[in-house]
Amino acid sequence: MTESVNPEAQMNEVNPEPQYEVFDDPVSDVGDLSQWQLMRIRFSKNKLAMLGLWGMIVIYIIVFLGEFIAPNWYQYQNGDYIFGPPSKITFIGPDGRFSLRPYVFATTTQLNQETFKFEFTEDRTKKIPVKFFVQGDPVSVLGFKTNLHLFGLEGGQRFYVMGADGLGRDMFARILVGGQISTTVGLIGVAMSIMLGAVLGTASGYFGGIVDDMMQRAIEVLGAFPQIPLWAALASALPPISKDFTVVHRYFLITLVLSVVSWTGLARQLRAKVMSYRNADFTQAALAAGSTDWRIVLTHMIPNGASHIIVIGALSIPGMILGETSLSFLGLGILPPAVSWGALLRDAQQVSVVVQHPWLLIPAAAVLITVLLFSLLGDGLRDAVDPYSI
Amino acid sequence: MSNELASINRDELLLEVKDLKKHFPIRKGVIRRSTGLVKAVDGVNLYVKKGETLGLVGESGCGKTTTGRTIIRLLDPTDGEIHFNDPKIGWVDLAKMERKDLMQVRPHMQIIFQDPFSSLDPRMTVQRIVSEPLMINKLATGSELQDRVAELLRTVGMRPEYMSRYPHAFSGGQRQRIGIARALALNPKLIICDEPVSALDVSIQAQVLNLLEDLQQDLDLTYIFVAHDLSVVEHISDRVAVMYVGRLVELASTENLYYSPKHPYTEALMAAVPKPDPRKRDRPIKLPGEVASPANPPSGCYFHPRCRYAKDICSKETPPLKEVAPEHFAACHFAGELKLRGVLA
Amino acid sequence: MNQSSESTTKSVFEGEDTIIKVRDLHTYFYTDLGISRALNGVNLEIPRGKVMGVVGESGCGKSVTALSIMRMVAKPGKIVQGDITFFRKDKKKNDAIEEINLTKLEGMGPEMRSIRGAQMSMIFQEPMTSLNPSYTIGDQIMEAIILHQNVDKVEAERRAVEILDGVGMANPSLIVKRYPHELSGGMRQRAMISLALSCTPAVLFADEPTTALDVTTEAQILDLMRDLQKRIDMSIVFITHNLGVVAQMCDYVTVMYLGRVVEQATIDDTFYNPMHPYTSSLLRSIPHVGSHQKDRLKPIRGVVPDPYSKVKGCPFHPRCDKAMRGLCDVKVPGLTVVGKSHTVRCFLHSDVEEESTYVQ
Repeated sequence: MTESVNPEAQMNEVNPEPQYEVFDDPVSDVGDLSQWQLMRIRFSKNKLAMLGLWGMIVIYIIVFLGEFIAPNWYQYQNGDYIFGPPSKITFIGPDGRFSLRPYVFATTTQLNQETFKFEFTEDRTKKIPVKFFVQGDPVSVLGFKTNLHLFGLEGGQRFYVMGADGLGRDMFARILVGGQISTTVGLIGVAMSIMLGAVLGTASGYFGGIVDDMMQRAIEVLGAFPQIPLWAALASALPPISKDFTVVHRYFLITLVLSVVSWTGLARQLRAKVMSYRNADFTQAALAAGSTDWRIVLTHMIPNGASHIIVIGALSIPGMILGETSLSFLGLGILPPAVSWGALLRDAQQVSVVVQHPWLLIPAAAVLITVLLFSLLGDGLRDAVDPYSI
Repeated sequence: MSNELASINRDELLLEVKDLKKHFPIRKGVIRRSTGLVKAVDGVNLYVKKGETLGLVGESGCGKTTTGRTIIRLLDPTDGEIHFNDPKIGWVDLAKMERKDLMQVRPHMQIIFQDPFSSLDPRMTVQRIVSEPLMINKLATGSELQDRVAELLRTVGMRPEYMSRYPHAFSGGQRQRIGIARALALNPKLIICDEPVSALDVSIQAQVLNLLEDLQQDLDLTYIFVAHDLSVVEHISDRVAVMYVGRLVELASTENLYYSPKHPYTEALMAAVPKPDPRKRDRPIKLPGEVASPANPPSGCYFHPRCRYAKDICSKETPPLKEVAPEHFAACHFAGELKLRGVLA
Repeated sequence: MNQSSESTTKSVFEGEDTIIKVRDLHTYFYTDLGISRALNGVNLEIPRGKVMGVVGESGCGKSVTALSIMRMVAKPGKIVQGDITFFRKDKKKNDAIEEINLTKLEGMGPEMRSIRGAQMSMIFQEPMTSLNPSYTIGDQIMEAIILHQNVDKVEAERRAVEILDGVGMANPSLIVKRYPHELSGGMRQRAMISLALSCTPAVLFADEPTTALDVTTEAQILDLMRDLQKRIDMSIVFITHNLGVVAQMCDYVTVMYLGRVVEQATIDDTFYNPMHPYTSSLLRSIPHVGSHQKDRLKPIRGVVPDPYSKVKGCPFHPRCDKAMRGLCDVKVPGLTVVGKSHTVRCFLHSDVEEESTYVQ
């Protein structure tokens, strides 16, 4: 090897003086920008995609600061406010004039002796001001213990922006906290799918042959199962919540269940991409220069595949979120005391309950908005990734 | 064919290919059973002299690209011998070499591609692209690497200032130059030019062809020029090989092949080239039918169903490639007898 | 539709009758990146019953010219200025000539649709773009026949077989039942040609019809087209960058550069007496097969400017070896008649000057 291609000898063979005509064709101004930079420019030009991106950032901030933002602790059971409706807010102050500060009416609860239901009556004369940074239930926000809440009523009084559930818990707080699980289950699930799908898809596409055949048949078999029953079967095999098997364990296993089913799509799409790059002339050139397979995978396949992985991943997050919601709604996913949007919606399974307490459906709106924003984000990424579209 | 080559001094040769075969299985069904073979290259014999350009022509699907890629072992041959006269270690049979031993010889054989878009990795800067072969073979690092890339870019007529740009910034002709610079990085002896100008506009074609000619002279390169454009091949080649359905039908100097062909297929091919001269519109030979499928070729001489000179023997016996005149080889039973017209007829 | 006024059909090509006359045609594309000025004042004449080649590098507006005449320019493209006059010959009315200004018609309106297909037709480089993969070849030809001619299905099928036979397809009665993907490249091209010719159009636009084909198949298709042209007596506008094909096929040649016609001449003049520097540069840049010589090729320096930019003066002057400073880079030469059937747009041959050809 060292004999046949001596670097010293090689360097001298080509005349260093430019000896051929230089052709000054115009060179594009965006030539210094890498594909990632071009992708970012294209993405930032897409208004809907930017809405998706910023919307998701806001949602993540809100749900992770949820216990601080909501005026009540999400687990606090208010026996006096079972199925309590959202508190009415007014901007007319006690002096009868408009004020920027919102007020809520004081509420009294009475048990109706005939229907055995609580009835809530507002005392329209008693207005309580809503204040920022008030003391309230002790909560822990991102590990910090605090009594401070973003807003609320002073003097231990409570109000419920989105009403209360059957145990008198603040729906607003529960939706925000439930979002922590619902919005991350997609991310973690997709991360797991990507690990499975990327490794198996790349291997399948690059090496082809028997590896590829077996993989494709396995994917077909897995894909032939109806998704929800398969999830349900896998989830029902999980042990019940106990001391050794906490809600956190269950959460991770549920995401695993979700990704076991959904890695196949990712692997398929990635395989197709890898196959096209495998046959691309630049790969052949690297082979001709003596590159090893591993070097090609590392220097050509992964950098080219990475953007596709991100796009495919982003596009499959909404499916994961919906998957968690469906499982939990069926009682097979996240179980109490943990909260997620699907678990919250489980309370809204009966029509009679929903008719009387429509605010129990608000978690569905949260799911809707999140899925929509993620879809916008994913579509924007997909449109931005095409390397030759500028 | 090697026997007939006695007249040629073996030291003058760079490459000698004997009975090269490359078959692809046709796979069908769930278990991907092999149901047949596409004989893309089916017994090709040829030789390439040092410093010359051998044109390899034929219609699509005739196996010319596969032949080129198999010679430099981008594809593994099914059968046959590929003797390469390595400047350091002498004659080696590439067909028999293990992949890891090939690493020694690889730098001497490079390739230029047709598609100026798919041949450059869109995620690498021009510098990375051109330096890749040097990095793979650990020939240079740091500023030395950078200097070498600059020098290579100047060699192909590009400004080294553009080194940090990505391929999408460049036009088709410029990209083709970058591809050529990459192929030159290892100071190869042999370059397979796989339709290097057919995706380019006419005026750009001329630039790239001129560049290839200049480089050949200055760097002592040998080309195998795979193309379907017969006017380009005539312009650039010293000798030309004509392929039909995976086999070589004729191999001769450009002058002989174009002006006194010995194989009826070459004659028909030459007659079909549209000449850029409105005063030469006469085209006496018309070739009927279509190219046979390499998965299901006819018996005997593959060309016989379309050949206007075909006799009984042509459908029964496969004619070997034989020397009908000094260094003029043809695979036709009647190569010596037929009076065929060249391109000007 | 106007009545024919004067002898407007008199052609710049001596002894020819004009079938389509294009005056000052501008077609622009309004894209996100800006205005792409594909055509900047195209003036050309298509002679009746003859083959006219349109040559030039890619991006010179060859295809857009054909699409504009066919009124098939799709959004974001738009004809912003100019006239396209079609001199339609009515065989039923004693060959009376009717003058139709195509730019005044709705692109997708009923009149234009009846002209497209029946009077004008187009074939492409890639046959699959004009053949529908989910219908048989026969169905597609029959549909075209029934749409434009008043015949029943049985008669239409008989004619379809006849047309396929006419384009040299072996076994036409079997081919009518085939789907496009079952045919080889050359056969698809034949099928597309038969589809385009199903209503014996007066003008056929052929956009690089043989570029994707092998040289022997190309020769077959060229033979076929020449043959059909004589038989049907139609005009063919042959768009190609292959000068060999032009030399073999065409009677007249139009050379285009950056959305303008720079030279129109007979085939012989184009190759033996080219007047525009662009035409002669193009001819010098290609290898001439059968010339026995291995002279160095002479490339045209630079590239075609992108159609988003405006070039001051003659659009070719930055690449022209004969450009005159102070003239070619300032003023725009006009298209002038310089000889028998020969017009050229160059200050070397005339001092006719034109206003800037860009539409604001």
